[in-house]
Amino acid sequence: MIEQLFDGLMLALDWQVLLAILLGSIGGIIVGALPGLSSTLGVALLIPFTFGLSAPVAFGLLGGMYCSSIYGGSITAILINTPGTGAAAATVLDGYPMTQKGQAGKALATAIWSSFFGGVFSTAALLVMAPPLSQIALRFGPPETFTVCLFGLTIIASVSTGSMLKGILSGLIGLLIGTVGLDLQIGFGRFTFARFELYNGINLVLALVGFFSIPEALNMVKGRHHVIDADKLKVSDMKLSRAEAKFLFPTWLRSSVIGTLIGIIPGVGTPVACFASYNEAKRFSKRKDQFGTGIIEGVAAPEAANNAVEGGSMIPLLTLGIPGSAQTAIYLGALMIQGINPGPSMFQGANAPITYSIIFGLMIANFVMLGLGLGGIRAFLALIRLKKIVMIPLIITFAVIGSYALNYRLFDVQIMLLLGLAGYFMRKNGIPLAPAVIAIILGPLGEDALLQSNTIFRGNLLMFFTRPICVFFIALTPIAIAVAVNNHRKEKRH
Amino acid sequence: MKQTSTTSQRGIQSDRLLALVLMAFSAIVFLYARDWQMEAGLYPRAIAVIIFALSSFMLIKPKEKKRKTPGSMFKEAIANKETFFVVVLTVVFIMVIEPVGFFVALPVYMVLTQLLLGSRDWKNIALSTVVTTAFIYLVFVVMLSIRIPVAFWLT
Repeated sequence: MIEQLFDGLMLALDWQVLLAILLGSIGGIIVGALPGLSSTLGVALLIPFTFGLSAPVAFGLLGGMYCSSIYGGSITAILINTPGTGAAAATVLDGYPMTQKGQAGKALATAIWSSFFGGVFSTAALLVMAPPLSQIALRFGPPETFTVCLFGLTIIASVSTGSMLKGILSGLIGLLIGTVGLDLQIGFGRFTFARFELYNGINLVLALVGFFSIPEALNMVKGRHHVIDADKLKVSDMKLSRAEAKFLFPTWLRSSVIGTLIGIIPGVGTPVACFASYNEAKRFSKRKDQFGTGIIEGVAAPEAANNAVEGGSMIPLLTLGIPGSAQTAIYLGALMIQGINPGPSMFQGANAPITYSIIFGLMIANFVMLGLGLGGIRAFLALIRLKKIVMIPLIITFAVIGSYALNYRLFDVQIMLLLGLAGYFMRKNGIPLAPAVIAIILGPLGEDALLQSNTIFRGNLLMFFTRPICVFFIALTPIAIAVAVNNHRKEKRH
Repeated sequence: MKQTSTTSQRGIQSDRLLALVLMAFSAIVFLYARDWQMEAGLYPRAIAVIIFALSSFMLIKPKEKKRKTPGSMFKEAIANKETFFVVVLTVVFIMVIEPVGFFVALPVYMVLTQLLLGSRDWKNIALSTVVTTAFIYLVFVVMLSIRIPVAFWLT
């Protein structure tokens, strides 16, 4: 095995592979930062370019795109409250408040270091523990996914700033938005108003762009001259000190474990990992009341988690041939184009060096991403030095083009604007938007899983209690609610 | 003091007004989904009922002391005339993308929005408009080959 690992490393260190990783990473940061362009789209767009490439070069290109596009989403989330991807949805909660406090550079530095840590951690897990960890994927069926979603909804209580009642109402509105589309059981169109565009429900990116970008742009109309005063931005604030890194280490570690584990579970997705990590960071923090006001742990937790998902989601793909996400499904296609059949045989014989070169390629991509991210902080900050008069149409334009690019449909842009205006109204009336976004993510996932479980259990939902993972999450849910309510009360007293 | 009493006579506590809006919204959702088959309708109807119940709780025990009228609530959401016109311009921008093309509508939208927001710095307006339009064209159309209706004469 050592020899195969070494061969894989040598393949990954080839100059062509390194160049491919660099190009993929640059493209990834651009794609991730632009609202509406996801890492899935980025990886898919690169597939035609891989046809004539050798497997290590092809996967270097894809790996660079995959890693960096997840990080790229955090740039606009932090600077202009516009998450470029679903993976950056939780980053806005503390990232943008940090920008408003003049700590945009610090927030970006925290994001890149956290993404790097999460990415390297999960890739190391993929390298060392892929076969045993892949068993987790096999143990997760619809009943387990449902209980994870149920537990995930408790995050709503944690991210409800101000009134918890309004937070819960926001979550319910999100659940309602999540019901739009064809219902899985009988194929009935719910709230589709005879528009086929709504049959598949409301795309998460539309909700993210609408809920975060449009209210922010409209708020700016009566705001400051700049997003942030230029003199508030300090060079010293563009680095993460050793003490801060030491302080963030437990958060990085915890979030990376959560991200990797959620990545292994097929179909759960990156945003869930981010919000779960944010929630846990808050639960373990000594300054719970400051979450949402712009603190580095609030950025570090989701950023470490979202990049940790990438390695996690590769585990069932490479070991079992199960693609747990859209990105890994495209990876599966790319593997097949290269004549590689994913599964246990990937770690054996002549396939092993190629497999390890893919994993080492991902590892190197994280280092390249770190270099580009740290080097680019000053350039990224130019965005918030723009006057709000320019920034307002710019944010709206990117929201429009990003929504259009999803499916090449103007209808999606209209939905985005409608959600944006609803979000603006909610924000003006003290209803937090993060709970709605969490519910939009978890609602449809949970409902589908419940319906599938119902079929598996033939209507006997007590069967949930016969599965250990389900029992674990069912037991954890009321505890998590009680802890969140208790914390909320304490915060109010302070 | 006098002003507060006048407002209190005219308006109700903002949380109560918000509760009424949410109750009306959930009632509409419930009624809309009323005739749906059990399998499809139960879940959205249940959510609507919970929103109604929680909103009524807010109606009884409002936390926010500020008072508002439906008119002031709308006005506050709009914030000022500029916000309203930015929304109107955005709606028009979205509506004309397909008939005239994105790269015709975008420069006009960028210029009009900046003028509306009070900018008279023509150099800045021109620069931001050209850079934004060129950037979007290069990234979305040239690099990523995303099919955007470029301009009406190129359809």
